[in-house]
Amino acid sequence: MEKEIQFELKNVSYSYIDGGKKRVILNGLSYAFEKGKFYTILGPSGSGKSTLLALASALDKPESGTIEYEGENIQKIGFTKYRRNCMAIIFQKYNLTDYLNGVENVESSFYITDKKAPPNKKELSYKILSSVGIVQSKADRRVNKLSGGEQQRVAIARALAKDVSLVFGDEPTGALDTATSNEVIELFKRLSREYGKTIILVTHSDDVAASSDIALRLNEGKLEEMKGNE
Amino acid sequence: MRILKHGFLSLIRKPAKVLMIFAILFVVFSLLFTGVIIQNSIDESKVYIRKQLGAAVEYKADYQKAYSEELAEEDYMKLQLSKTVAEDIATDSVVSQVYYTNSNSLMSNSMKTAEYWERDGQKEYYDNTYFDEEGNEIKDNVYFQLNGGNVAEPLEFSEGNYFLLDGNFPTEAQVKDGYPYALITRELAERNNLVVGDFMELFDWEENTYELEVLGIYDGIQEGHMGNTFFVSYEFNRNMMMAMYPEETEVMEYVNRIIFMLDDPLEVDGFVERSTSKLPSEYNYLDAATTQFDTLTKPLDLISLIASLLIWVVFGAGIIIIIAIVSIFVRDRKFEVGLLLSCGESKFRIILQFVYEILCIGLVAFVLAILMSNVSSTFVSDWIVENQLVEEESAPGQGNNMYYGYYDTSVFGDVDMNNIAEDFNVSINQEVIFKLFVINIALLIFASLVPLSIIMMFKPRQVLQD
Repeated sequence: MEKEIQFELKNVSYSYIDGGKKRVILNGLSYAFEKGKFYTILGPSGSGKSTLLALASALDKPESGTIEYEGENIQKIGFTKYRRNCMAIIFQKYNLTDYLNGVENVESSFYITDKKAPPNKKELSYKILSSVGIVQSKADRRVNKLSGGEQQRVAIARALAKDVSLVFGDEPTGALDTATSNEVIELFKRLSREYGKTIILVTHSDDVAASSDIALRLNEGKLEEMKGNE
Repeated sequence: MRILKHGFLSLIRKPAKVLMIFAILFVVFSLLFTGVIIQNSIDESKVYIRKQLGAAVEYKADYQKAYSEELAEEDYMKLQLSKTVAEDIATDSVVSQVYYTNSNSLMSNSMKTAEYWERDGQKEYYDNTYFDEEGNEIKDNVYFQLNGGNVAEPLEFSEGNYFLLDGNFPTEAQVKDGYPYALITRELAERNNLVVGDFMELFDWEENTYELEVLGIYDGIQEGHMGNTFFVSYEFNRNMMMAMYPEETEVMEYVNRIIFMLDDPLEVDGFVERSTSKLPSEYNYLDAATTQFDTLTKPLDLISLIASLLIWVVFGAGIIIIIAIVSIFVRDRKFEVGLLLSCGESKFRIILQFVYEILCIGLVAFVLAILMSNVSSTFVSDWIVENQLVEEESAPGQGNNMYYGYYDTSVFGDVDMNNIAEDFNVSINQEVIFKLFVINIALLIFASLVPLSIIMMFKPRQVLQD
């Protein structure tokens, strides 16, 4: 059966000048991500994992090469439009708007999209939050009154509300304890299996990598598959 | 929708920051508005003075300059007022009417004079009688001043200084054709039993005789020695001069008084500026009661200068302070900006939300600052009225001016410091509020856009990383 490609990096390079010297981070990197799979990218600090994610989520531009979403160059889609309609990203911290409560944060996804917003945004937001384990009493709290794990769940709920098929995570469990981290990873797995979303997480953790369908290692600016769970 | 909702929630859920921005905006606006309100009151006061002085501009000869520069006798022609120049200047669209007059005189040995002086409340007429060596009473000629105008209703009448008791003004055709008519004083009519429709026989220096029809009898003169003044037409006077001095055609061009009446007193300054270059000599000038205006506005100018300085200093400092405070406000929410950018929100809409928030705070600060500055400027206004708008000396140039032996009433309105003080007030009208609102909005938008634009110039990744 032919693989359905959701997202592809084609010969992507990225470098920057550091102390007068050119530092190559990504060097002609190419990789195709299959639809509905859960990927993790491992690599030592400074290997370019976050840069790779920044390029994939159009927060930065590659020096050369192209990035394609469902076969279309994201530059052609338009970076803002791509971020708005095609993907979601979850960071390690600063994921939520601090003056909004949980449900308002999730609800905001319905406004930042070109898709038609549903009429029952609030009810739907509660429902999504409930599906990631946030009950209404917690959903109504200001996000800075929630624990780190709860905040990440709200961030995941917001990504779900966005109704996109591609979700990036930049060490989303990096600031969480092991138990909470496991719960969050389970959620990502559910997103992939139950909702058919393509998940690409950057992580330091071998345990997180072990939970994914495909673990990749970023080494000297290239991606190498570590294992496949198919 | 998101912008309005999140903007509002941000304001009510971050009260400390909102209060800090509000306090700064309130102080800056209050100072700025006080300056603007005072400045506006002064401008309105100047407009009031200009309106009170009227819409007249007089084309004059500068005798003072000629005297101080010891103008040579052969150059005295430079002082003459030219009718042609006046007509050229009068083509300006703001001129509603130009009045020019020439003067002449006629004599009679049968009519009695209307000129007198008063002693112990009794009129004593200058009848020019004397006794010869044999004791016979000899009656000398009586002289009459002819004020020749180019319009049917002379300026003195349209300005309300003189008024007709009987008869009518001439027709336009009579004025234009130089028909021999005269408007005479009540005193002269009574002394000589003249009524409207009578004819007076008079003669000039060359003993040419003229029969002038009495078209109207007027009153309003203040001085007894003006009783022999006739209002005739410019053309009649000119024809008389031509008859007496047919070779002096150049002299006929000159007139002794030229006044431009404008549509609007506020057009005066612009008109003078435009028309001065058309004057043929540096010894001519256009008088728009500038001396009176300058004297009356002098105390206001100093306050205006202080108010202007206040406005500009506060405006400049305000921009810097507001930029600084908004920068802190925006910087504090940099991750929110990064998060919104990563979600695909457009830069424009993010800027719009921040500007909306600042404008909401600014609007409340604006309303309270208006109230505050209205109170503070009332105190300043009272101080201005009590200490600055006080009569120092009567404004020069008021009253009557003497020209070629007869008096002309001033064409400028009468206004003094008491009138100005009474009129001076700082109440805020809608126009001022609108002006302040525009300043307020402009200041806030400018101050908000600077830091926001800097942040938005970065890539989303940089915003999230720093």
